[in-house]
Amino acid sequence: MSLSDKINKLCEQALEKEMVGGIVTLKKTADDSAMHCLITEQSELEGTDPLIPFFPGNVANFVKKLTRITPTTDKILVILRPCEMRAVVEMVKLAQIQNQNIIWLTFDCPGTIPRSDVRGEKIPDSHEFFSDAMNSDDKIRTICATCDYVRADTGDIGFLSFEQDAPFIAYTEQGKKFLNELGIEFIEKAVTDGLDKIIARRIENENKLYDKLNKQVKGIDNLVAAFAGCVNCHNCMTNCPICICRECFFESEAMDFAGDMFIELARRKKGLRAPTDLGVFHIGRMSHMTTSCVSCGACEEACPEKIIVGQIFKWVAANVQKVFDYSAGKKWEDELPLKTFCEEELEQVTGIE
Amino acid sequence: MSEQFEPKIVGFFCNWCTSTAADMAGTSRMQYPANVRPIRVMCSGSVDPSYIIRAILSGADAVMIGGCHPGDCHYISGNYKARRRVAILKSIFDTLGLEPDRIFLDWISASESKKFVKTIAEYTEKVRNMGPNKIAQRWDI
Repeated sequence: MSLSDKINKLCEQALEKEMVGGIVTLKKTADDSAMHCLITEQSELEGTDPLIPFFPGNVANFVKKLTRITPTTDKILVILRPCEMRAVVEMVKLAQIQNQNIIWLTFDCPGTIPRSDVRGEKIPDSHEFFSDAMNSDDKIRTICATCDYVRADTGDIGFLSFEQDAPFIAYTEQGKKFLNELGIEFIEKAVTDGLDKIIARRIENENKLYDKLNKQVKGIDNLVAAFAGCVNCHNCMTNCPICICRECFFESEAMDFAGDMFIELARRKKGLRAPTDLGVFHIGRMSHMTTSCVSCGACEEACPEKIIVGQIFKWVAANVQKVFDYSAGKKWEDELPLKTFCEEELEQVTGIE
Repeated sequence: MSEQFEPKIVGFFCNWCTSTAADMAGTSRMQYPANVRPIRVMCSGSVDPSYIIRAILSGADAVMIGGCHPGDCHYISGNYKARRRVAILKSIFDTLGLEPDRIFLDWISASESKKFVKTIAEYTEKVRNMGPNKIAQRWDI
């Protein structure tokens, strides 16, 4: 039985026994790529494969929509990647997702291939993709190749896809109860034998990426060059699970000036780039969301200009989160850095030197 | 001899402390450099980092934020939040290779008009030595 079949069988049984009212999973689309899909009947499982190595966007955004007005009456099973689970944890903390009727199933993730490699091409078989991922990061997105969070243990149920026999694991009481009722075998203590090699390689990649960005993006000339193609479409923001403001400051009237003010700005700046506010938008967005950035790379996938915005935000976020000894979305109990403070901290920030 | 560089500094000063200190410095006829353009805000915690970024990108050579001493915030914890936001912004500037020293946060209470004058003088001198803010003179950001 393939890895995907194993999860799909769980889905089938859960729907058959009416333990869930719906399942959110990945489903193949007409163009041979994939999208997230909410299914409610067993027959709709045809064409679904939660392990398709493709990232059409962060599913946390859909779960936000699903639970924003009220949580569902029936339980919903959501199958998601570790980076998506990190986004969920952040969004629950940000009061964007009501998670009381959701069962989270996270699988150990091999990474995903870039969108540009998918259109018109067949997505690799998910089962083979897992065995390839053990030895190489060549095919996957840079953001995936530099991600060491291969397993999320913050959900209810885990699927240890890289371990021997790929067992299910229960992380919470709800997960345990769910698997027991289904009559599916599971383990309660995690093993990490299969992951060590991948994680070590990914950490090495991550450090290499930061070295590269330090050389190629750091400094005003490099920074401007990196964002030069930006057309101000705000796709990166729309697709970001952490950008949650219903009215965005950068799309508000605060960005509009009287005509003469633009002339004045152009005089001061020796010309004025149009579309305007390139730096205010990107650096401003960094200041608003990098404390919670989970480095899923949804922004980069959505960028029509192929700006490496996901890698840059990951790099900036790593340093910002270090300031507060916080790692976004990895622990339920850690408080959001912008929601709390210590009376005695950050002395180096105030005063001259 | 070329003219001395006069930096433009945008100041976001809390209504309850630094703005009052500035007021007192004025009524006491104390002199301080005219490089700072004070903007009165209700709390240092109300200063969104994007205001600071916009100032730095639109012509200011530096931004200064003045708030109440820790424990003295009129709204209990606004200044602690301001400190976290400034720490985030400084970290971002540092990572991107911009100049974090062009953002400056200090605590100046309503009675500290002398500290206000001294701080403005010192910071103006520091920014003068740093020279003009190059990013403010680029058309393409």
